[in-house]
Amino acid sequence: MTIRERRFSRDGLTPFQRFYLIFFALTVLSPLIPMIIASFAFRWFWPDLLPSEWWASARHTLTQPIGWDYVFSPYSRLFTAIRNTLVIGFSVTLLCLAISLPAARVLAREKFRAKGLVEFFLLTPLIVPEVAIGLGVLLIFIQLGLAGSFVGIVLAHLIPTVPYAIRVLTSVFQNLSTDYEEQAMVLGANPLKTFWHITLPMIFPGIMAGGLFVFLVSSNVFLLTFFVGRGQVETLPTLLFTKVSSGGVLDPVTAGITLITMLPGIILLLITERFIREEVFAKGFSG
Amino acid sequence: MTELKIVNLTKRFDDSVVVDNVSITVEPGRLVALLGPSGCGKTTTLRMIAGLTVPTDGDIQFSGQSVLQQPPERRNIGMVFQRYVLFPHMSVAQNVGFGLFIRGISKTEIQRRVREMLEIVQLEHLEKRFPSQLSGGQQQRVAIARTLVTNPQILLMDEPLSNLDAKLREEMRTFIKELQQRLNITTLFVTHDQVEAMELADQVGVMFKGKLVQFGIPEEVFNHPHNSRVADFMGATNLIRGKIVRQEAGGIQLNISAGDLLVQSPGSHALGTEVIATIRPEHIDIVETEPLDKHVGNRFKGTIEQVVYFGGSVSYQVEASGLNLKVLERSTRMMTVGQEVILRLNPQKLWIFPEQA
Repeated sequence: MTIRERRFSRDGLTPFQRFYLIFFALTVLSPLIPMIIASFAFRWFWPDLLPSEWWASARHTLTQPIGWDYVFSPYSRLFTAIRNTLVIGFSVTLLCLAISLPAARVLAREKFRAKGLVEFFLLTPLIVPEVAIGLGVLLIFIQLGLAGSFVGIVLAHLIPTVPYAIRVLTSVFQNLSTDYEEQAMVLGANPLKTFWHITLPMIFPGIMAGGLFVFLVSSNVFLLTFFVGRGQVETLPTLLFTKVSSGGVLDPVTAGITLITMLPGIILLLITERFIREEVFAKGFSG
Repeated sequence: MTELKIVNLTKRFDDSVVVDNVSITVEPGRLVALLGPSGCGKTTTLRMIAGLTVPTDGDIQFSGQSVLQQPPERRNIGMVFQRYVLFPHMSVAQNVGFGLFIRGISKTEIQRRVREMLEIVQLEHLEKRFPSQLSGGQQQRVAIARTLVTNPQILLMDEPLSNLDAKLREEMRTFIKELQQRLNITTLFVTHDQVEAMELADQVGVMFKGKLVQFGIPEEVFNHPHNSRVADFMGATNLIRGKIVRQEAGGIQLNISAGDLLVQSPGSHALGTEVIATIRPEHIDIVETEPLDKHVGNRFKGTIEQVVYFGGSVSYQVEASGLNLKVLERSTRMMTVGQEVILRLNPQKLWIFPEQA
């Protein structure tokens, strides 16, 4: 029997594989196209394929800022929202990792009674509807005086992020043999030095990957932020919600803010890309 | 120099006893090999000495001082793991210097001692490389250098050669032996390879199922195994079941499935005792025709069932009236499968042991 040689193009893909990748990219990216057009439109009515009047030509004829001018003006409250999102996002990420690291280590390495129960319990925040959690948390936080505060929002964001981070980091620890830490101890390193010089550098890519996803979840949480913040702390998702409910989806300002909202995630993804590629794609989301 | 003494060391996990009342003394500057099949508890013993596993019972003493209360980092021991365990985020020099760095020794001093150590293991040209850029043998030597650079009082090695290919393994064996003798460091070496144990060790301890079955100099363990399992593990892989029917000055006569078997082995056994006789494959003669001297005993007719050629020696699997014997012959001639042969089992090379339950 002769083996038919499969023909590969220069990029090493078969025609079907290339078609599949392009199709996939289009599916993900195509919804952005109307968004981009809308952000640059001034008048855009059904059934026109393209706007009848563009922002660039209309902005000089009006006295108040429209479209992108409005987005970047203080009226839009965009910069406050970005700042709040970043402050909350980074606080949540740091706090969440600090909580999840020791827990993940124990779950990955130790056997104890009721371990299965603990693992199940960690998943419950992902199962219980966000509205239920949000309302419950709000009631408690009002009592504690945390409603409407940054601290309250950060604490509330830990609810959906901690289970996620623990699962990711558990798989990171499962992939790290205890040999390295034991070798370090035998060489004279106490547990703290072992963690600092051996464990931490070795799981750093996993921490970056986990941290990135925690940040992305935090910067996208709407309901919890809205409930616990009581509308007093504006983040990108809550700002977006306000704009959508007042101006509609194809409003140029809404479209512009939507595009801006994507930026922190994209920038972070680019910064951490090296680590993510190692962790997520090599090991998957197993946990 | 430090003496390593373990006394009645025991480790239980849940219901199973992994290490069962083991006592060994390694004299200062000596190398002792712990030999046994995987799962016999030898690695657990090593880990308890290192402080990585907490013993259930017994004591571990360095020069008469119990170290049970000390965490691993205080015991000042060196341990070489089976998989080398080089830190992947550190260069060769950083790996070797880690133990010194952690002890807060000055940078220049670390540099000097790392270089000195790398010279000993002949890797001074690779100090800037990372572990992933090294071959298995080089990684092993880095691991050894990293362990020795801190001048540990005791060296523990957990199957350090099992991941290397045959030729490299032999080289590293000589290297380790020379290094150990030169530095005069008390060493406990764990292996499942009897040849390795024989070549390296001053004394050998054989472990089965958590128990230390035999302890002694290599020649003694090799030539006078305490029971059939040790014999089997030391290469006497032919086990023949039989019953003692006669005992006289000339030896012991057994009744086995293929007839009578004469064994010239010391010790006295009650008549009718069920025993196991063992013999090494290389101690069985194999001939194609009846030898002239018909008075020589222990001859059995058989058929060759399997032939494996090793180059310089040939291994045969021979079926002789219910006996399945392995025969190793140093020869370049080869007999064929199905051929009728005559086996002669040298009575002086047979050992007998009481049958195990």
